[in-house]
Amino acid sequence: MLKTWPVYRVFKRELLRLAQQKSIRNLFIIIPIVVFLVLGAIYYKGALREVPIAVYDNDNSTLSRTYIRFLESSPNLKVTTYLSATDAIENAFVEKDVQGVFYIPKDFYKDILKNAPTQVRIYTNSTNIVFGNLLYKSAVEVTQSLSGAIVAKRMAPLGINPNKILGTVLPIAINTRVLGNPQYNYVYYLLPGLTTVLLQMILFLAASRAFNHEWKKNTYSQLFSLSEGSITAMLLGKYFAFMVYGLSLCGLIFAIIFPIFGIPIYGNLMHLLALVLLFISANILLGFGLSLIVKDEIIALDAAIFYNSPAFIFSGFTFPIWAMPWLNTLYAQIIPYTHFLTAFLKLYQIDTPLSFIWPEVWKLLLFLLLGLLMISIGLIINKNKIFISQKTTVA
Amino acid sequence: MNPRLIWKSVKKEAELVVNDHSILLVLLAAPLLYFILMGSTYIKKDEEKVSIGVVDLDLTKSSKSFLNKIDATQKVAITHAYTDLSEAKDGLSKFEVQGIVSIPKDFEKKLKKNESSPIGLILNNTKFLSSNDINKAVNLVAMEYALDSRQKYFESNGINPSLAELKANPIVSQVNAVYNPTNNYGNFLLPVLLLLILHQTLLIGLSESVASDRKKQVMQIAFKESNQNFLNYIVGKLGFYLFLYAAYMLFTFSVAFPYFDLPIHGNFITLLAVSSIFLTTTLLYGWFISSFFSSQVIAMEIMAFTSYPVFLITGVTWSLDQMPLLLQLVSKLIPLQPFFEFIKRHAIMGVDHHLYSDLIVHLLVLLLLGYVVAFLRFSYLQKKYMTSVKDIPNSIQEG
Repeated sequence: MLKTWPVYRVFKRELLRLAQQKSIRNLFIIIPIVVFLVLGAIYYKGALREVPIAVYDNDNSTLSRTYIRFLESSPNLKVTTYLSATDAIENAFVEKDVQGVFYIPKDFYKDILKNAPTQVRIYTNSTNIVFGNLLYKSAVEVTQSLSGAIVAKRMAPLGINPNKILGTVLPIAINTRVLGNPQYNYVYYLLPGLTTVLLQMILFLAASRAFNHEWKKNTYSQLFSLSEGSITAMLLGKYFAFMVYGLSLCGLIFAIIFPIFGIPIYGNLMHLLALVLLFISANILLGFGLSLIVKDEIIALDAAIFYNSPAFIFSGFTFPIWAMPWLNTLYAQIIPYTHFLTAFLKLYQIDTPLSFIWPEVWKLLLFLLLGLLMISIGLIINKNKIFISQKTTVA
Repeated sequence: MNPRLIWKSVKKEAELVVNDHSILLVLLAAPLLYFILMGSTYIKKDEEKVSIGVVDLDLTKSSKSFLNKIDATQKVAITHAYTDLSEAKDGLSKFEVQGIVSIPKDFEKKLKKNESSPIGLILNNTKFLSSNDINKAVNLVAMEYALDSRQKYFESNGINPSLAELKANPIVSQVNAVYNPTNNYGNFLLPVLLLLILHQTLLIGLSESVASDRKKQVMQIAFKESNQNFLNYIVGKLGFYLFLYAAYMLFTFSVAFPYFDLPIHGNFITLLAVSSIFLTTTLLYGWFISSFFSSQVIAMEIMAFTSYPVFLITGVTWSLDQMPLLLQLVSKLIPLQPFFEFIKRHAIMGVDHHLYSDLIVHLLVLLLLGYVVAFLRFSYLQKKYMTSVKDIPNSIQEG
């Protein structure tokens, strides 16, 4: 029964057709395995620890040494170099291979005893803001800890209720709770985003050649006769085949890559699966639309690459959309990944209820409609190539 | 080397690019469109007004003043006020806000009694940039309160205000973000992003051309037209791309960098000279890799997917020594790695030449490596084509 159903026949043919294409094997097997593993391996350490710093202690006093000990005890910093008067601070970043330089001025201790203002100068190599931000945070933490301890010591002889010391030195204590990647782990942060953007790219690129490739290889008539001339059967059969490939790729991401790199999924798996199905469907239909509109598969591929390549940048993942100029925010909105990512992060990292992702789901549904619209346009534009006569089919 | 043959090949390659719409799009339209599209994304350089939600259960002058101070900081803005924590958490889960500041009851009372007043800060850490900015802003305001409280204590003990101020903050940390004074995202990413666009479009365009040569069996004809000489062939084949992308490099450094307010502290001629070495090396690598493809589609697809790993493996965003040893070695073999490092040291940091000369040597070594592998590949293909011609019976060849 199933074997005679045109949709099933197209589906089966498409599965085989895709498997036989070297390009598809590259897209769905070689590229994801290599690229996902390389991307994960780049960030395998997770969090930045022990960033190398240099210290120039121009005071060499008990207090300056205490300050250095505070620096050394910070898990984020590692004092690798001690500079002397002969070293040029401006060259230390390159010559000593450090990301920050801490300069403790002469008379640091004496000035503190005299209540004179004293300043530890910290130079961070902010050509990389990851280091820049970490050093800023650590430098402020270390300095404030020591500064606070000195203040507490100064208060003691003046007479202060011990219960009030903390309230006076640090009146506002901040209890911070971090949701979604509390470990500040870069693998957890970047790898899910990078793998899913590549999922979109792979599916879109493959789907953008679904029909024009048939025309190029003169296999369309075979597809036409197998589907008994039904465009619905062709579309559904191909859609299900692409869905199988898409879900296999999701399996690679969520069942292999995530466990390898220990990426936790906090959300409900079924909700996640539903979202992924919608995302995959949107990309397949958009790709089909492009494939039916643009007859030349290489030009269709060019368009697919051009459209998809900046998806990660525009998604707002590493740089927020609200900080972009309006034209760029508009471009961000016309990429399905932007909306998928927001819903994905809500579900898998924050574990929000399903109702909280409706705004993104609606937008992804609009992409489904857009895909169908593109398919319709393609059917109209290339009707001579699509609705071929039975005579041609037999020939 | 035969300049006449080379010039002929350069013209032929230019014709191929002009007549192939796909290559034309990749080499001429894509770099400019991407420069506009991606470059302008970071034109504001940094984020502003990161949204914060607040739950003020104290509703006193002190709590309002504290929240106003947070709102007044540069990068964050209080956009939502919630009545309770559960409502606020829903707002955070819906991504209405990126963080929540909650002020408990008795906040003011405790402050006045010099008791520690804990406040809650909940951060949405799914995106690091916004989370860091909120954390920084709230801590900064809390620190202001700390200094004020300490000063008041000393003053209450008969110490004059100016001395009390000094006593309240004995060590000041002055953090100077060198080479990127506001530690902004645009200055960090834009220089390398613009160069990555050039790198990737060059590789995709070239790989399409070489794959097309192989598919249409034009490569053996090109070998023949170059008198079976590697230099004649390779200079003729790659000369057009070198010329085009040298022009793009010039445009990038003389127009795009100033437009996006990116610094070039080093010598401009040195910058162009090293960029030429980089381009030549990339072209040799590109030709070598592309010569394994005989399908334009496969070449495009594979090259398009190298963008992320090639960019990230260079160590621009993550320290190279934090990566596995194998990746560090692979990274050192990619011309983009020493070139990015050179751009950082020469153009952005403006360090003395002895501090970047090792990178030029590194690029030259890779140039040599690129030359050797391209030459070996050329020799292999040359031999292969010659054998296949010999295998064809004379009668067919003549026919």
